[in-house]
Amino acid sequence: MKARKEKTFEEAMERLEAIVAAIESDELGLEKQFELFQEGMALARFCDGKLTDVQKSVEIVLKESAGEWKTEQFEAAEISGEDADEVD
Amino acid sequence: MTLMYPRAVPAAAPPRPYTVSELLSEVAAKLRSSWRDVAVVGEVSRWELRGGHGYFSLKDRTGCLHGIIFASDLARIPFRVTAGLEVVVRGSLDLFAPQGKFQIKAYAVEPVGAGALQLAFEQLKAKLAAEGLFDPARKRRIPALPARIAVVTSPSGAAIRDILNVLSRRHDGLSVTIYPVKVQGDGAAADVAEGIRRFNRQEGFDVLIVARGGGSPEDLAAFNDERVARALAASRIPTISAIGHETDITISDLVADLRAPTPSAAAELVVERKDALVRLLSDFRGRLTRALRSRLGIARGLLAGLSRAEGLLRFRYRLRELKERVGQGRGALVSALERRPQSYAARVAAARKVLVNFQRVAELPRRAERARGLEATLRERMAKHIARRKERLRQDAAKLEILSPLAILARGYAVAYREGARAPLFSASQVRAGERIRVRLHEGELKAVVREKSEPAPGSAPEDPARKPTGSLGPLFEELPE
Repeated sequence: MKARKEKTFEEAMERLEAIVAAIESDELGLEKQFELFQEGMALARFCDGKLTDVQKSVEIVLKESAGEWKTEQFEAAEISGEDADEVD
Repeated sequence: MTLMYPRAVPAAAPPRPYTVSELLSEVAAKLRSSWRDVAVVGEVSRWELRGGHGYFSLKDRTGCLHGIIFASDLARIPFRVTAGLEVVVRGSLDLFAPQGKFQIKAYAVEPVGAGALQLAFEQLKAKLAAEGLFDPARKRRIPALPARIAVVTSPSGAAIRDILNVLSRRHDGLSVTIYPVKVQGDGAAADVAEGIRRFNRQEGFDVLIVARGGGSPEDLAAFNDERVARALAASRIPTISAIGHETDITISDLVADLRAPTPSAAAELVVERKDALVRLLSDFRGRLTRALRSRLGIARGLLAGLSRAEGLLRFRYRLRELKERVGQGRGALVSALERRPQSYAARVAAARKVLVNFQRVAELPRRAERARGLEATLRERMAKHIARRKERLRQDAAKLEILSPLAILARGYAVAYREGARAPLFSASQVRAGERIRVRLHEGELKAVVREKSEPAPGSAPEDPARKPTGSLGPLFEELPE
């Protein structure tokens, strides 16, 4: 954990939504509106980054490594049969 | 107790009496062989656990049957036996010799009506509900963007296949980690519960899916197990339960933060969340840009209109006018300011002069005093000086008196000069006979002619006149002290 808490995706989305609503309301001065627009675009970039920054992967936990957390890539081939029953 | 024979006893000889044990043993054997496997229905009127074994009484309106179920058999019963429960007990009849008590040794207990599993489910559900485990208030929100997904399921089952099928439609931004478990049979519940706990000891998972494909109620039993329910309730990671088909509701479904009807649905939920977010984000962006653009457009139009307006033109003219006036004012101000230093300088000089004079005036008495002092000193010194000089002069004059040729002349001597010369004559050889000379006396002068002269004897010749310093008065005077 970092000492300074990073803004979460959800917080950013919430703020972004509030900004969009405020900008659309037309109740703000142009300067304030522009300021919010810039903040909104920055938040959108941040959220966009969060949406794409996780590598796609499928892994399986190795239970044999007692206590230790080990995983290996999970091969889709391990799923056998057309309609495999739940068998162990 | 007295044995009564109300009727006449048979004529035959009385039977050999049994011992108590013999009789009980014989009856017991008969009971066991005749009711080896019997089912009896009744209401549980008493239920006690002692040493892991269950002791109970079954009753109906008029009868009561005691029974026992050993721990090993009791363990296979999924629900809790409680007083008041209508049950069908299967077992064999037996006799408990020490107490001469007839009882049923049960090896299975089934609830009347619903199945054992159903009852077990209802009982656990009631218990956990009473503890508040299904309370909507304690359900955590599934994060808006679940990127790292933990899955507790069988690695070879239909559930994981369905989940991965759905998730693989996305080519980015999702990571799946599977904890492989037995999902049915002995040890399945413990395995699943451990899987949930293991994920919770790791950092970074956004959501935990507990999944199993469809199956019979018995197949799903692990997900109605209290251990799994408690592991789910204790999970730090928000949980999604995806067990069996849509119609199957398990305790896990009730405890989990979110219930997905099927494993595929659980995966859809995760993916859709992400898709929805991507759409929402793009929508936000569009709205931001549009709102600002339209606002800017309006502002520009307004500006254009305003700049052409007559009022504004008048305003501009007025502005120019004011600007000029400001310019003039500034010029005047500047020149005024420029004159200012000169007049100030003059006033300062005058003031300085006054000040200096004033200072001098103030110093006057002191200066006068000093001047008087100085004057006195000067006078005194001057007087002294003059006195000294007078004395010196007097001495010098006396000395001079002695030295003066005139003084010598006064004593009767005379000095002779060749006519026209200024140096006195020292030797007769310096003149010829007939030459005119001047003789200076103490008083007056004689003009004379050399009649004859007598040369001095060679031995007593006077010193070479050339050696005499010119202007000196001669040996006569040289003998005199300075």
